[in-house]
Amino acid sequence: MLVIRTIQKVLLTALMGAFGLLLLFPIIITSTNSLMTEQELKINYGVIGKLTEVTSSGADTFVNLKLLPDKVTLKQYSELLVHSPQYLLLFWNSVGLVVPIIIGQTVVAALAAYAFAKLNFRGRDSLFMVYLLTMLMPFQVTLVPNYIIADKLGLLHSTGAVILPGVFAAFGVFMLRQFMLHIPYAYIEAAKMDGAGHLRIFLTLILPMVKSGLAALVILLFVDYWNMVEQPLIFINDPFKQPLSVFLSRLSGEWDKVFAASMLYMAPMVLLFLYAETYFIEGIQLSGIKG
Amino acid sequence: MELSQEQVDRKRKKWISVLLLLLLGALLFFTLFSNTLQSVTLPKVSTKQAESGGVSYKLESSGVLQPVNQVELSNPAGWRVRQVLVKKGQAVKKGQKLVLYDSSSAERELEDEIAQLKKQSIALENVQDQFKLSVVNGDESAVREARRDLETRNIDILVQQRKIDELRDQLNRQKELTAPFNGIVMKLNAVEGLAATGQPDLVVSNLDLGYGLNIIADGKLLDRFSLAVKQSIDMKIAAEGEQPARSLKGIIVEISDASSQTDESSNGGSGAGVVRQKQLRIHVADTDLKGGEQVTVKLERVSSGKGWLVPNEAIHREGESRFILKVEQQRGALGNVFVARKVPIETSEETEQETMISKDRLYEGEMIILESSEPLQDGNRIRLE
Repeated sequence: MLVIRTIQKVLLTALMGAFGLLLLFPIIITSTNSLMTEQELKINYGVIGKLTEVTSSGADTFVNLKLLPDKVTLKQYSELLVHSPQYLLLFWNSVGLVVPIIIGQTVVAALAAYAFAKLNFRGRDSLFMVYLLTMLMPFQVTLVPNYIIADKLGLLHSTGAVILPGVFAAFGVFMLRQFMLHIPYAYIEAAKMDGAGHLRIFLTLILPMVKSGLAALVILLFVDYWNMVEQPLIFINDPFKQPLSVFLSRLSGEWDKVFAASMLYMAPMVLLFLYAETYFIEGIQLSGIKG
Repeated sequence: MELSQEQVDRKRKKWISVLLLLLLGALLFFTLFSNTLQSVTLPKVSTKQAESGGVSYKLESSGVLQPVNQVELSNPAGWRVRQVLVKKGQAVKKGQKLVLYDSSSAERELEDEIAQLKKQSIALENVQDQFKLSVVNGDESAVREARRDLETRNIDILVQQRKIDELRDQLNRQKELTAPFNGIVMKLNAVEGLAATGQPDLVVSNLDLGYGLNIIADGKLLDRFSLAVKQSIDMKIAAEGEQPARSLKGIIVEISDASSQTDESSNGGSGAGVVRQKQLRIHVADTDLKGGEQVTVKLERVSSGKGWLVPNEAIHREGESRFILKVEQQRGALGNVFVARKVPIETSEETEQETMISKDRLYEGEMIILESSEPLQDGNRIRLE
């Protein structure tokens, strides 16, 4: 029995390990390839983007995935940091988009979630259902209405057109409401008895209790908006105002810096996750959502 | 145990936050300073604004004026030179005495001959007396003899007379050299006290026929001026000694092909190195000239077509085609950047310094790259000097 259990455990570990590796593989590839020379990358990935030509000429159609660089060099990074300041500017564009969205949505969502979870008013649940519906709808459905609204507000081709819908997205409301539902009414009633108003209850009682939820929300929002491509692509037409994510999606030809740019773009996300990892796991578990 | 776990966690968080701040700090630094860092490594270029206009062709050539006609005057009789009356370079009038020769021997000979003539005259008188005596005596044969003798003597005297005349004539002619025409003494070989040196004593140029100048120039360049025979041409004489520089006019007498010469110094070597040469013969009629003056001919013409004038050093070759690099301002992520942009050109007209390119190749005020610290390619970022 014990033997069977051990075998099971080993098998399971191996399987998990394999899956884990599979998930990590793109990141590993990116990090090792960021140390390759431009020539090596060209040789390995040069066929990308001209697959049809290659097939018609009968040549090798396979991309040569290469894990370890022949020659380790930081040329890509120097190229990126010193010779192509536009990427750095776009990086700060990304920051400028993501930070207001996260702050705005967290504030709005926390307040709204409090109302949906702890206040009693008519039509609360049906209103929440409507809210949920917008979340359930794919982004592409709301794209056109969003575009029209941004146009009417005169926000088109400015960062506001991306930030505003982000601030008022339903996801944060939903997630924080789930958190707040777990908080027993007794706390609130006790506070009310002590004469606290709603704002005081919210600030001093509820917020500290949903700290882990807020952290999880921040990370999820960060990941979500840091990686967005479509919204800025559609709403912002000035290439120098677009975030780096849009640019990275077009970077395929520039072998001299594409992997380094990806690495730099990934770094804040990874560090933020590592920093708030414990909150994140806790928050996900509590709210019952999986990222 | 739990506390230490928390401590570890806190420490980890601290590290991560430091790392995050470092990353953001580094990115911020590079964002702000990458332009500066980069501009240090960019190739430095010197530029010039293209000038609008036509190519001005310039031909500058100089030569020495040579008399068209000059005559060598030699010592006619081979006598010693008694006196030289002119100097080299002196202007002389027609008939002016140039050199006097020592004619004393000839004069002595003449005197001898004259004495001889006198002797003959005296002898003639003797014969006449004899003739008269014979007539008085009535000696027929003696009279005939005396008459014959008289006639012979008369003939002798005539001959002698002619001889003297001729001698006198010769003396007059050969004791001096005179100028055959208005001219200038070009060469003076005669030395006082010496007889003939084997060279002509004098060389005199003919002023009335004027001077000539031969100029050899690049045929292609010469063609641009569309010169024609009998066209007048301006020339300049360089200042020499007390003579100030002055200008004079000449007339083209002949335009002919000179032998082509291989031009090895021609840079680029595209024109196969053969430069067609042309000779220009110019005639100058100016009474103040002495010959031998250094004369400069300057021709200048602005081409009829207008375009951008580009210094030749800015023109690059790529096989057969030619191009220039201009400065283009591009909007970069962090302000404007300068980029080298290739502009293919086909030259219509060119000189040794400039090339004219057509108007549509450049816009007003655009800068052309003359020199670069590194070889440039199309699209390279550059740093302006």
